[in-house]
Amino acid sequence: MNIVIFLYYLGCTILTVTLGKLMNQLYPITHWLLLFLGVILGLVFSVPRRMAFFYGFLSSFLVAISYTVMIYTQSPIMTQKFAKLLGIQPVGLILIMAILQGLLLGFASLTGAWLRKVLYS
Amino acid sequence: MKIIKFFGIFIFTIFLFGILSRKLGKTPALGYLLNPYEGFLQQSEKKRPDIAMPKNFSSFLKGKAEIQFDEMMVPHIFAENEEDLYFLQGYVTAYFRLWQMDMVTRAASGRLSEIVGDIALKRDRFMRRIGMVIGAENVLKELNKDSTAFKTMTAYTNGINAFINTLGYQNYPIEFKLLGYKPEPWTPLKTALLLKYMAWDLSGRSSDKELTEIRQFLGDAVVNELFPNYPLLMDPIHPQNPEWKNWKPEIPKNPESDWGGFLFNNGITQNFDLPKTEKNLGSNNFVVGGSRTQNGYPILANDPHLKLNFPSIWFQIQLNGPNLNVTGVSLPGAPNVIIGFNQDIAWGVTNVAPDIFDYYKITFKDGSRKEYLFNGEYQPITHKIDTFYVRDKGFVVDTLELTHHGPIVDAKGENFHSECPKDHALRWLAHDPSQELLTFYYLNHAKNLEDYRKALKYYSCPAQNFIFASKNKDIALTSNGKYPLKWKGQGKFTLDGSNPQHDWQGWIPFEHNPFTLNPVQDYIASANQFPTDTTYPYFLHWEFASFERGKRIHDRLKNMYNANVDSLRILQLDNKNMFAEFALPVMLNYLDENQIQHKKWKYTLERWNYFHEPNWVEPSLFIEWYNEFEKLVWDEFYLIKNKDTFELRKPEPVVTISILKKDSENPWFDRKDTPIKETARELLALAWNEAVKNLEKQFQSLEKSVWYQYRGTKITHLAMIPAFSSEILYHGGGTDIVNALGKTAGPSWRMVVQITDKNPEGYGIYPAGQSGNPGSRYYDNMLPIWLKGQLKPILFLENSKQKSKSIISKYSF
Repeated sequence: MNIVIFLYYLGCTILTVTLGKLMNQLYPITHWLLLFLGVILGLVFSVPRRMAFFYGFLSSFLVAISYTVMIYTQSPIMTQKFAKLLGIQPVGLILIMAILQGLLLGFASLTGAWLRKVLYS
Repeated sequence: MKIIKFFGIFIFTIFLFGILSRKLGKTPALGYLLNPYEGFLQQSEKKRPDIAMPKNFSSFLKGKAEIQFDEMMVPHIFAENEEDLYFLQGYVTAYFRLWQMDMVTRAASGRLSEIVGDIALKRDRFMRRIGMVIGAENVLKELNKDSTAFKTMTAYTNGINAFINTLGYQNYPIEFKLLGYKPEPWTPLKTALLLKYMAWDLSGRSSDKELTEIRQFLGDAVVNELFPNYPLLMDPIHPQNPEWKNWKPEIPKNPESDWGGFLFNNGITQNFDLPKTEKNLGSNNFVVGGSRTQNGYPILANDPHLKLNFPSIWFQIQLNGPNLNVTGVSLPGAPNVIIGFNQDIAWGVTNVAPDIFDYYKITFKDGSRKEYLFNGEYQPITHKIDTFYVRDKGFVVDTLELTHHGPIVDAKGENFHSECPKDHALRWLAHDPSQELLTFYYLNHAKNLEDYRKALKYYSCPAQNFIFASKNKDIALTSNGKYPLKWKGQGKFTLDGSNPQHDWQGWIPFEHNPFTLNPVQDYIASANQFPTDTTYPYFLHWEFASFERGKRIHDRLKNMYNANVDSLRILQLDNKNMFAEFALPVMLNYLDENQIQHKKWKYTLERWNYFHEPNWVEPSLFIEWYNEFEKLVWDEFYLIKNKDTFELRKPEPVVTISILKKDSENPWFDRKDTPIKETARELLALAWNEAVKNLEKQFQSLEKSVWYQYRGTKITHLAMIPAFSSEILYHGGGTDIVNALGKTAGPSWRMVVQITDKNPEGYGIYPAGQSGNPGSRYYDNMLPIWLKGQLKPILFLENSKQKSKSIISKYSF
């Protein structure tokens, strides 16, 4: 695992999420931004494709879980009620949300990495 | 190969993102909803929420303004002019309750199917067909004629829209995200629709069809015996007024002395789509004069019993502007305070429920349904095309037929509602132009009795018992509204739409509305019972709420001296079942010990003090026993048609027990399905055993069938989302009890106001919280206090400079 590349992934994810929240007044856009980010990161960094998926997944997962846990610590009521609505525990809901974010950026990065392979080899 | 693999991954990724962005059936777009940065998690509210006020907020305002929030998140709004005041009321109410406002007005206007699809279409069609939109449009036209009303409505609307314009997806209330739609701009018509929805809730009921059916299947004698024109044991709201006998109004004459409605050609029908509202609930208000209180000034109490939901029907607020300083509860979606007090007066309301909702049988000229008979001539029927957008289905068109009476609600035998007959036009006062909003505007500004009386002149529908107390030590109650001039019993049965004498013939003058001022006993109370005794010359209705709550309140107030706020608070929480006191000794008297199971419970019931405490078994056993007894007594009221059983409306419990008291061998006690002749003795024993069996089946044992579990009251979320609803409430009371908590409805706001020589001291609570956001600690923080029967002091600030420890945040503009 290349820490420098992973830190790029992590930093870009944080920036993208922040941008998404700012642009949110127009439309729920964050996960589409993640798609573009993932493709671009996959294209830019020359890493094995499975690593592209891993970097994407892990960075998005970490950002999402940190944010979710932070919100939960400040105010757990909504998470608890939504978990009750789904019939699961709050911790399960937090994990589902974070894994979902991880998968989104992971697959987007994998797509970018495949595109890089098609274009440059 | 690599290109194929790339495309495989590419398509899968696009599919993944796409599928998460789409609503699938009833499931909302999970990609948005579960996205922590913009989905449901954004509705997690911090302990001290930051109220989002736009930076350019002062550009909306004409003067300086300030909003202060207290520890219960009640806004106290200060403004230099009234337009700013109502603008901020609109803004703040929308901030906390936008989805509720949207949902209720959609329900009122028949637009729920736009959100939830065809499951709501029949309900939507019914709401349009009873003329909700017609009524709202008429009210709006009338309000717009008055510059005060127009300004108030416009400012309030602008405030709501200013809030809506700040919203992006991440800030939408959670219900918009779950149901997958977005807020639309508010209009004054929506406020009018909200008022009509209240009118429907409080006056949209009719016995016309039910009693006509009873007459048809059981005969006139049964109606006369079991459904009397003045109820038994009634203790009316207003003391008898000697002037009533001197009034000689021109009451219309009944054109047919034996009028009993038209027989229904198709016989009885059932399987209706829309449920009836819970019976035997209502509201209480009472005021005691200075001679009965500790401080020598009146104390006023009010607890309206309405459907209990999250978010609550009420939103607490203080409005402080030029010539105005008022606090209390408002209806989210309408300006002003509806129940509350200002520096000089306090007021409250209960429902009168006069008969202002009548069905007229329409005689069509022919099958084309283009003309109907009236006064010997054929009149044209106006056809109005109504369009509904049904989510995922497209547009649906419905044709509404309009007569001079009103709309024909059920034109095709669609069985919308058990009270709604086929091919009958609905005459409902709520269709008429009116200006109810002005009543509340002027009550908010009122300084004395004269202002109170002037304010009430604007009020039409649904009629309310407006109770009043002032710093001048006046106490008063007006059973106020617009009442049609009717012959005695008009509207008890369906009416003849072709006969002009069956039309409403005019109105009872405002001055003749039942009114009491500073009565000798120095207290006044209303609990939805008959407003007057039989010396009142006008006919308002043949039935009102049963005697129990009214009698109990009168009994308690009669003996109440040296009263303080707690005296009235405790009366609001009174759990005594007056019907049980009336019925149980008679029922036990005829209960044969040798024929029943669990005899020890008979002895327990004999020792019961008739109070409905939450953890007692006696109330559950009594209610279940009575219900089973009632079924057996009124077996004639169950009709069988094509192997289906249909149930006619049964007589009131007080009638049933009165018959039992008089004659336990009355023929009504004989069951028609057995060859032997039963008396009440056999029926009571059978009912007892059945009741015990039912309770044991439901709760495993009688000991576990405690009252609060038996009643099973839950406060449900408006969209019926269980996770956003309450558990079963541990609380006493019950239907027809002063503490009138039923299964779905109950005391929606408890308020007690002590008038003093300075500002009134108010106390209040409702069973929810100020915020409509389930992720907020202010969503249900008042419920535990309400369950304990406590009240919170209502913070009443004289001006924005006054300091209070209760204020937790301030916003100045």
